[in-house]
Amino acid sequence: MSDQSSAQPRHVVVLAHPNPNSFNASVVRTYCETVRSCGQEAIVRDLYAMGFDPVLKDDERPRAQGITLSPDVEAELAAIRGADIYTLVYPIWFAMPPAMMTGYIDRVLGAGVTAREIQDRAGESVLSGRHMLGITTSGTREIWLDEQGQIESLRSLIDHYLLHAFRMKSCEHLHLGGIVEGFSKRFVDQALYEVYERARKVCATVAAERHAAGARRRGST
Amino acid sequence: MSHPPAFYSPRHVVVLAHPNRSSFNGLVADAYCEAVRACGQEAIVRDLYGMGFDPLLKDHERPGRQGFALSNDVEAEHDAIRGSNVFVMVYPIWFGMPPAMMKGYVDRVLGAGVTPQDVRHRTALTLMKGQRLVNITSSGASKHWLNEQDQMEALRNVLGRYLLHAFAIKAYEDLHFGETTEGLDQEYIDQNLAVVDQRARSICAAVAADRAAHGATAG
Repeated sequence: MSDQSSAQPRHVVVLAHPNPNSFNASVVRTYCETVRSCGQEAIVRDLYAMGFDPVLKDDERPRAQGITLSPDVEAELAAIRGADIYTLVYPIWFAMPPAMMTGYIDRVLGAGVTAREIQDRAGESVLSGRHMLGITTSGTREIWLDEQGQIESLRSLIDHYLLHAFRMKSCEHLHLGGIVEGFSKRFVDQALYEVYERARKVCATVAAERHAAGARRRGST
Repeated sequence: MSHPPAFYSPRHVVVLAHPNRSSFNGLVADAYCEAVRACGQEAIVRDLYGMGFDPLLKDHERPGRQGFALSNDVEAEHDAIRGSNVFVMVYPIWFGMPPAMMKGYVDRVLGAGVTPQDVRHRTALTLMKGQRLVNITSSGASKHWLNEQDQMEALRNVLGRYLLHAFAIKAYEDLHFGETTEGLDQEYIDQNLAVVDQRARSICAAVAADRAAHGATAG
């Protein structure tokens, strides 16, 4: 974990949306501005803009004789490794993340992790021991999604599953519902304010952890 | 288009999302098709990896937005699967979810043009309206473990009940095979494929019965 001793806490923000002017993109901008105003570092991985390839290759499936990571996955892992928190921002399409985001989990976040390791809770991934925050949006209001059991199912599909599979420190979720085309500025501002508040809370948490870790280090010398 | 003339034999579309055609998932797709043909019905396979399907929804394909338009590859895919009675999705569960290939097929092809309002009011006009959906999944973990994690129920909610509702599908059912890891022994494979064969035959019988009932009311 030597990489975590970098000067400031680091947030990796992964965005999966095809439109750079979308509400999801605004969420990312607000999140990053807030993080930087807290004196912390934020890097954005805009998957559509990067032209990320979400299709897992046959060679990338974990096998007895080992696994071969593709160069693009290796490069991506190098770019994101060692962050304090991974924040995934995406719309919910048909009750699930876009293919772009599931592919990022399949190829990058879950690189080389086998089903056996997940079952034994021994999966080693860039997420191990880190925090994760999912920020999702949907066109229907949260209450309706809830009636369908969707929010709970999505949470158990992604959040709970990844939390355990990769032994993460924590996994939280912020859902912003009722996001349709042409919604009012007041509504947008309100939703972005929720993002701002959550980002500040996350910054405080990781800063406190850094502080505690620093105190332990000083105490042990 | 929801009721093709009775002289056509019922058609099953098997959508396969696995990077290795000779994998267990590939065998499942083949076993399903063989059983369907043995019942005198038609089966076609859409091997998404083999076809090089692009799973990424484009900005202009977002439903209900200005400038909405379907891409050529999506139109062509619609032509290939239109008028089918059963949609069978065959895929491995990776990290609790379908592969990006399969999710993208839902986003771009099966859910083409379906808005949140359509979903809410069950007014979506999709190729699957009034038809049947079957999910056949596999995972390296045991079914028992997945159940313990609430994964099976969560997947059923999302890929079953939700799609049923969103796409106005008539019926949903699924079949899951656990512990399908590398180097499966032949006996285990044969056993599981026999289960697929049986299920395919029962679906064929249900579809034939639908047809008979429809023919009876129409007559």
